[in-house]
Amino acid sequence: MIRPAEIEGALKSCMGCNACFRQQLDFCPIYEEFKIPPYTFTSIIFLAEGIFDGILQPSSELAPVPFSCTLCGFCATRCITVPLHFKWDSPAELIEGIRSLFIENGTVPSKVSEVLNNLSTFGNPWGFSPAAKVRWERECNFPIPDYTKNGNEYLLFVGDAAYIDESKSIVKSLAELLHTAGIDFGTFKEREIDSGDTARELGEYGLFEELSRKNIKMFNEHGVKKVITISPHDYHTFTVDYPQMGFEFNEVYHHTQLLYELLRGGKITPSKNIAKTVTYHDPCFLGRYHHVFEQPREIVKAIPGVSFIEMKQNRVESFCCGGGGGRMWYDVPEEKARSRISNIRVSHAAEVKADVIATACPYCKSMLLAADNLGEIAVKDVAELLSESVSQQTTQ
Amino acid sequence: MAIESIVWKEFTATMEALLKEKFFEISAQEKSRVVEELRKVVSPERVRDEPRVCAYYRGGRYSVGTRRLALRPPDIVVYPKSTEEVRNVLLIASKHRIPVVPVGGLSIPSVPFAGGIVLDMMSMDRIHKIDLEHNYVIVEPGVTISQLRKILGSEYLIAKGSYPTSFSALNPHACFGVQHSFANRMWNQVIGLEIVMPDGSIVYTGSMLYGDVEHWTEVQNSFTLLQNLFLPSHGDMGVITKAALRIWPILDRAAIFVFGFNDFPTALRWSYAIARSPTIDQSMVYSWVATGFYGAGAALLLGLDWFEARANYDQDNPPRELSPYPYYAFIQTRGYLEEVDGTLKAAQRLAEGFGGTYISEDDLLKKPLVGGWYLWLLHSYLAKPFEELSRLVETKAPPELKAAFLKYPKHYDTIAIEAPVLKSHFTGRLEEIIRFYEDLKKKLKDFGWVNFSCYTRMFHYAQTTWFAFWPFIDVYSPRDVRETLKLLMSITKWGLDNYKINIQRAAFIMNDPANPTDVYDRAKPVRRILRAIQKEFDPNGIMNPFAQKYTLS
Repeated sequence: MIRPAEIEGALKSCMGCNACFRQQLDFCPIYEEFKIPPYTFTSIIFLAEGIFDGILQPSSELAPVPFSCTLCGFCATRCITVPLHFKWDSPAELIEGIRSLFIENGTVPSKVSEVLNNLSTFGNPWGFSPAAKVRWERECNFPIPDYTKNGNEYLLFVGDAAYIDESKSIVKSLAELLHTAGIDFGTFKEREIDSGDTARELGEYGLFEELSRKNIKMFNEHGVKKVITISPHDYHTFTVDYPQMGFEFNEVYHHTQLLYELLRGGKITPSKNIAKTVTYHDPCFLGRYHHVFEQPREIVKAIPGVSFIEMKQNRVESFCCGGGGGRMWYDVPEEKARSRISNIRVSHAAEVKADVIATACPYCKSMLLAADNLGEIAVKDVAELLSESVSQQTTQ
Repeated sequence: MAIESIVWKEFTATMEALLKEKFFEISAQEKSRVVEELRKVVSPERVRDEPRVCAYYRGGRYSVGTRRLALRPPDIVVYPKSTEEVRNVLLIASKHRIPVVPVGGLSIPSVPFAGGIVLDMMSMDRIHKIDLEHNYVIVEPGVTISQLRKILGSEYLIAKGSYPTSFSALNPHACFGVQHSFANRMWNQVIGLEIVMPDGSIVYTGSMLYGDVEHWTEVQNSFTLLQNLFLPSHGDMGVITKAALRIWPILDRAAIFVFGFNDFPTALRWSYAIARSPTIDQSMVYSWVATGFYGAGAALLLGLDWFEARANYDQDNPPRELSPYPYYAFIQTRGYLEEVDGTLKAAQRLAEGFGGTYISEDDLLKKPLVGGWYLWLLHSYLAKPFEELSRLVETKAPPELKAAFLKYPKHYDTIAIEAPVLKSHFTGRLEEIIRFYEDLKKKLKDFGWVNFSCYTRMFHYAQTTWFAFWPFIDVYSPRDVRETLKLLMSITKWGLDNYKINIQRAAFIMNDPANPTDVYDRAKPVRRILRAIQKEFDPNGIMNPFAQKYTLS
């Protein structure tokens, strides 16, 4: 987390060269979406500079600009200004800090305000009741252990994926795979609350601290040492932010990392033939932020029958799905989009004639599924694909 | 008068004058009428007046100072797509007497200073023609260097120098207007322009001598330097909508050869001597410390804590595990194979005489610090594709360089502009530069953070050598900036008084907005011509009135 005093110093490091969005490829997703410079990293920096100089005031009129950023971090790969890049591996932190100026001033887009209220009241961005967190378990044919009672080896932090239909199946598939591999895991059931990633990404540091302290208290109470996350955003929060709050797990796994280990160790063996051309979409918070590029790909490639193909923009150059940084809930109604970010990404998959876009983030899956140009292309989490291939083995 | 007094006095006077000035104002009702008119000639989504859009164009984007100078954001932003749209916008603006400031492209240095209409020229991004036979391209102002490079491939040299590839391709050639920073000055490679004037006239510069050759050609016409009335941005007399840029063929081979030297004067003398060869585009001398100077510098790639550790480095005595020599001289050459081979032989022969050592590619890559910079040079000066560099790293680099290179691979896809440091340039005769350097080093012996470099450039066969000293400062510290600025001013005065060095420009971040030295440089007759043009083509004075005020008055 970056504080306002640090933000002011960091702003000067931006030379406004626009290398962060004016290059050959589809770069900055919000620039591609709106196609005018106010929707870019540099313009957000410029806007913040105006605020610190006293020329501009945070206002609802200006708010769509900082809140439009998906925090995908692509700009950091092109940023040529040393201090900016040297201090932070990604400019996301800076954007979060700039958003916090609007939060403090109470001038945020209404949808963002609604999401923050939901997080504060219900512990999730949608405003679901706690009971909704465990509905996915009904579809499992084995009981999901309660970590608080059993003190299992791993805590499966299901996160936001448990709430909505598109991603419930990811949780279910992962649980099945862990079960098949004989992993001792449990969940916090209805008591699990948001990790705070959304609050932090939206710049609501106070709420982030509140949520993270609640979580840390629970982790301490129940002696959680190893955690498996489904969302790369939770993974990022647990590995980067929680240590700053004074809590460190012994082991934090994004589910693709653990599945890859299980696959390598022979605890899971995919056997069902899936004769599809599959491409992999790198979630920003897993790939660019944490350099987890190969494990998900290796899992997909290990599935018999799969023909793996890369999109033109992959790994560090992966193009965002459009759902990060709170954009999962806020689609910037104040500005007319020229093209949807998820449509652009799906067009990359269509270019290589993929049947399936595999990904490793519930937000990515939701966003890509919502693309208008998806056609016959399926979108699946790596865990779902693997589970499809493994499950036949268990029934054979 | 002491130079620092001149600079500060001018800067302060400019600020005071600006604050007293009554600037353009527009009522909400009139603005709405103008927006409506503009939307009839430019599609509605490309005429914007929302504060969140206009706020972005508050002041120049390039210089921190110009942002601070701006009194208020523009009232309307237009994203034109064609010359015709620019013409229509100017006619409407002229009718309503609304100031117009084109930004982006050639006009990045322009400052939307106090309201009015901003034309974002980066929205005009078409490449109209690539003529490989006659070596020129015709581009709109929004065509970026990267866009042009992608199309030209690695066969042609285009804009060279310290530019991010996201800049307009025209910028490196003509970015030396009223608000320019000297860091951006390059050789003029523009051979023809299309300019829309505020009265709707369209001016084409170049020659009409040959029926079968387009006007872009630079064959002399009756007003040879007509384009230069517009290029140096003498108040943005009109809006440049197309330009023909010269491109340079690489021929068989382009190469950068690196030589190690034990002291700066020797490296500079060698560099100056070899640059007499017409096969040399430019030669450069850098202290080893400066390998981390640019944003993509090897030192930073390798994780050296540059800003923290700068004071600990002795630029004359590098840790040998990092760098075998304290100074490196580079020559950039291209030509037929025999010419390039011959150039290397000549450079080696001269180096023997001067006491320098040729460092092969293999040797360079053994030292990550030097190797990292070499890779950057290959990419930025020779436009070597990243894939080619990757192969080089794969086959020749030690693990630490490989790891560093792969960590931020795409850094190599942009040419870095200088990190935000202050710098000054001295142009002059070689021996004077060397004397100045030696005395300066003594004078600054307590400032470990100032280091030196020198460029000798041969484009157009007009050899120029300039010397730069770069103090590395903490850009987060206003005190550091202020103190360094004072130091630079005193050095400038010292250089001026004692060494008869022609101080071409001292570009400080803080005085860049008004750039008073540029104003002083202008000759009165030029201003008279410009005023006459303005009277004829811009009777309502809508074109960048701020710049006009300080250049034509």
